[in-house]
Amino acid sequence: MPSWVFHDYWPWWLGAIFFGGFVVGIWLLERRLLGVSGSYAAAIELTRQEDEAARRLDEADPQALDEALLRATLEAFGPEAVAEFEKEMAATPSDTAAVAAPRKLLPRSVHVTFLVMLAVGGAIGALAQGTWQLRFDLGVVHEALTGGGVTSLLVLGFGGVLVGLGTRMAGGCTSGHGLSGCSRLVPTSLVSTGTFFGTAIATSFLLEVLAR
Amino acid sequence: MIGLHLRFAIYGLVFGFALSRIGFGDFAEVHKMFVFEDLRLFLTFAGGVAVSMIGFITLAKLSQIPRRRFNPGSVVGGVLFGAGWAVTGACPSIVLVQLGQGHVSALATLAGVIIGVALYRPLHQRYLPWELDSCSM
Amino acid sequence: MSDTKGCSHISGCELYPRFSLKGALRIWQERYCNSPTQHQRCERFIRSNAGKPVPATLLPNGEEIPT
Repeated sequence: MPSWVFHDYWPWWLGAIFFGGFVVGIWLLERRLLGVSGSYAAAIELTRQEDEAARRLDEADPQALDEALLRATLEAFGPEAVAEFEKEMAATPSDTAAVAAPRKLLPRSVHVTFLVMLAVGGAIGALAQGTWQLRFDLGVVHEALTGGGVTSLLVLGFGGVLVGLGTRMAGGCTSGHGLSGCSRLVPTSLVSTGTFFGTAIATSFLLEVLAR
Repeated sequence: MIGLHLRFAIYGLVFGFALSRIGFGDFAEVHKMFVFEDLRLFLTFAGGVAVSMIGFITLAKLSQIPRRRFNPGSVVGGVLFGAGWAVTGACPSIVLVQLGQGHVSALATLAGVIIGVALYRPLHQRYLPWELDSCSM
Repeated sequence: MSDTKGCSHISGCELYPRFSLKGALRIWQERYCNSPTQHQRCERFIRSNAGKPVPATLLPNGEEIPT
């Protein structure tokens, strides 16, 4: 049996196949693009008002929703204005391209479930490899590069704020912009991914220089 | 709703497991990628993008790319995130994997991530000069 | 790259695609979203820029979709 089944880390091609299969799989199964930073945003920022509104919209019978929307439209503009508008629209041929279907919004609790299970999955992975261990640091390399002990913890806290703020600001992370975005050649994702990889590389070299 | 939770629980479990087995939960491995000592993780990522691309082209209509306006946050946020990733070894998914693997100190990172995410909207509203491209998230 | 017409939030808006689904609903897009000036009256736009929450059921005129 190859050593990576249980002992070593997976070879690059296996990881690549997994990532690709997973991203496309989620799309096919849920019509959603993988993006973990979005789950954090939903878990932390979503107000109960927004969460409930999203759920009402999602659970509404499509027919009833159509009627409700139409009713609200008539109330907002008045039946004459709407009728007039429809006449104008019928006269001019439609030029707007078909817009993608409205995105299905997941309830906040489902995002939380997903995030928690990421940790559980990590635990099982470490257990399978036999490397699960309760420890208060991120390993010797990290300790060496970030000062060790309490200093390292402060670095982690501060670094975490950068990760949280940065991914929210960029609108995605390695899974969102990196895997889902770059694979579809979305310009924003390509730029963002290049930027965060480049910065991470530069910062890592800087850490090594500072640690000497 | 239970079905939804179950499905996403499985997705989380599988993704977390794979991230761990690939080695993204190991700071030393991630650092090796960033200083070009070992390209395995980088190839994994690039290969993952390639496989996704092929999958999207063959199995789904790639043409539905939404045209989003360019947002300066993509670059500024990218710089912040990249710096944070280098010093913590974590991105939003990986900090949870680190925690799962037993690294209690990842709680410090996680606390930071949560604070960072919560700070974004008020910070943007008060200090950042560019327009958002969405009312929600 | 500034947009001289239309609301900058269109690409991320939850309601915009719904307005495209039926002919009559497009009146919202004409009177709010695609207008260079009127989109600033959209309640979703206003609240978002104020940092306030924007429920998915909030219509541009401030009413809620009666689900």
